[in-house]
Amino acid sequence: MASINDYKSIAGEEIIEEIQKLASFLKGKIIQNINSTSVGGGVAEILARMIPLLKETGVDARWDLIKGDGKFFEITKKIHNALHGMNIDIPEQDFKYFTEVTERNLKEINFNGDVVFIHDPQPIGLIQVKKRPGHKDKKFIWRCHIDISNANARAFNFLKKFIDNYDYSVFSSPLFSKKLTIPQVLISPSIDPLSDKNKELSPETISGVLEKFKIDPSRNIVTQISRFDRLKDPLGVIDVYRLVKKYVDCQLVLAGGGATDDPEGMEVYKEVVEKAGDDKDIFVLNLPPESNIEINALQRASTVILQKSIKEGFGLTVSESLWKSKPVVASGVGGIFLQITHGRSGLLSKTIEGTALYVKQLLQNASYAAELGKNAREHVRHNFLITRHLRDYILLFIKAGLETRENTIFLE
Amino acid sequence: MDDNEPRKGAGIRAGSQFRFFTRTTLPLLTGNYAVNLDQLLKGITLSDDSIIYYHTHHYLIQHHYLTPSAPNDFAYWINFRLGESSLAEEISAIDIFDYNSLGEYKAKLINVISNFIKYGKGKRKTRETEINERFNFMKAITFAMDTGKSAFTLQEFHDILKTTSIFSFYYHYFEAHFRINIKTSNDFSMWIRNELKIPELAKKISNLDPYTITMDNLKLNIIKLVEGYL
Repeated sequence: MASINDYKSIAGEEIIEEIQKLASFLKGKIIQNINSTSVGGGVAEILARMIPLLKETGVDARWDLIKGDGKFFEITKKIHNALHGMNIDIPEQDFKYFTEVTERNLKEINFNGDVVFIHDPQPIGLIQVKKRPGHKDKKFIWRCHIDISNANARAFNFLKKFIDNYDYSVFSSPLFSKKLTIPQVLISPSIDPLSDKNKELSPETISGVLEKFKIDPSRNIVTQISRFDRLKDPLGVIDVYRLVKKYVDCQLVLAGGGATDDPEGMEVYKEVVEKAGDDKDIFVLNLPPESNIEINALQRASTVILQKSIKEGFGLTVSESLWKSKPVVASGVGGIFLQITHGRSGLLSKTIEGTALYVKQLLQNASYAAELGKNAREHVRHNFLITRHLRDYILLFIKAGLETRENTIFLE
Repeated sequence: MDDNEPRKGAGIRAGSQFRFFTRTTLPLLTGNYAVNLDQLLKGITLSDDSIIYYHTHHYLIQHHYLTPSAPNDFAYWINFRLGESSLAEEISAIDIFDYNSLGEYKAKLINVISNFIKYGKGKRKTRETEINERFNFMKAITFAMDTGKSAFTLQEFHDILKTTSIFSFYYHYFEAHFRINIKTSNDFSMWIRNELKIPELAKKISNLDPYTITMDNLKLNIIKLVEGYL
């Protein structure tokens, strides 16, 4: 696993020094993270990287888990889907069971943190410990990793009575922001430049992956990496490719996962394969979850990368592509606005025709594409790398420990 | 510069050192947003200085390697989301350094948008954006800290400035304007004028227009100006 010092050559030595200095202001404080699982899922993945990095900078960061049975996690899955906007009826007894399991965890967990950092809805009810003896000086932060902008009102109102008791909340996008009585901090997701999905690859590795999938490296490659999900509009991507191909030769790669464990994903995958038909220049790749090197290689081999999402909270694949200095054409939706400045670090489109126009422009103007790619990498370097994420967490913990309401804080 | 000409700043030692600070921010969401020009105007009217400051400056630090085409969020959103390019241009052209306080700048901003709504093209209805294209009112908590680096001479100042982060540079050049509340000044110019007694260099640094070039290039220009006095 990479050390904090390994990021110096990527983020800049002064940035790592700054993080280390900021971390020194947390000396003597315990930062206790609590979530529902240590493996699987985005939150566990982030914590598995963040906790060692925080420790390395001298922060006493700890990680505890709540316990729950199958019934509890079925209920939290329902709540999760309802928060994503699905119209799900959650019966009162489910909320009651959620509260009972929370109560059991309140008895079992040793709340030893000066700052208690609770991730996502499953452990949200632990905030009730704040009212119990010995915990009034602790600061509690709720980190929401999911898009709750269209949340089912009943599910959100159940959670809101807990949220209002926290000291801070954290959201990943301005679009997820709600009217709340507590401060809302924006901490965008990040990518790890040293992970398999983003690290530098040798030309041999890249060509090996292309060879494996029989993609011709000497011709233009237009790629979209995403789950087989209607919200990623893979069928629209094929329409874009066909419009482009009328004028500029290219191959299309549609690569992603989600087609094996998700019935709807499999349905979409089949539709994509059917629409691709017998076109030998369309590569529909249903990749297993551990295909990080393959995805990295496909992104690096691409001439242009698309993200034609209809809805997007924050496109991690967009940041991954931008980091690889690739010209990206993405839909101007959701969190993508934070990632791409149109005409500077990529291109934002609305329609199939508009997307095709931009792809043609990029395929035929290599210097323009290179300029966008150069800016794109710089934008990610300064805003969406794990080092910025780490710094933001440290700042949040510092702020949580201070009583001041000032907007400018001098750290001495 | 002629090699025989006496160096103008090299031998001077300041009575008080220049301490290099750096700054970083944590963005805060207010939960308020706008989907049309009327709501934007209302939101600006209700915004405190920290919100106005965020939306007029965060673009600079986030895109410090780019020449900003619309150096603030209001202009950017009006242009790219509402499609009102003339109003966006008018807002972009408001020189923030003409105002001693963000309150004055905000009043000007309100005036320009109000006039557009009342008399300009705004008499016809301007576009309403989709919810996911909305303008989100935000602010930030700024954390300032001493880098531990300091200079007594122009040479030391130059050497540290060359290696200092863009965040430190931003703190002393941009934020200083509002902190020291003196029109067209900044920490560098103040120190060079008051401590090193080189007013012409201080003035040259103050006279650079920071909103129309990249921060990286602005920093390089200042380093070059300083080199002329070593």
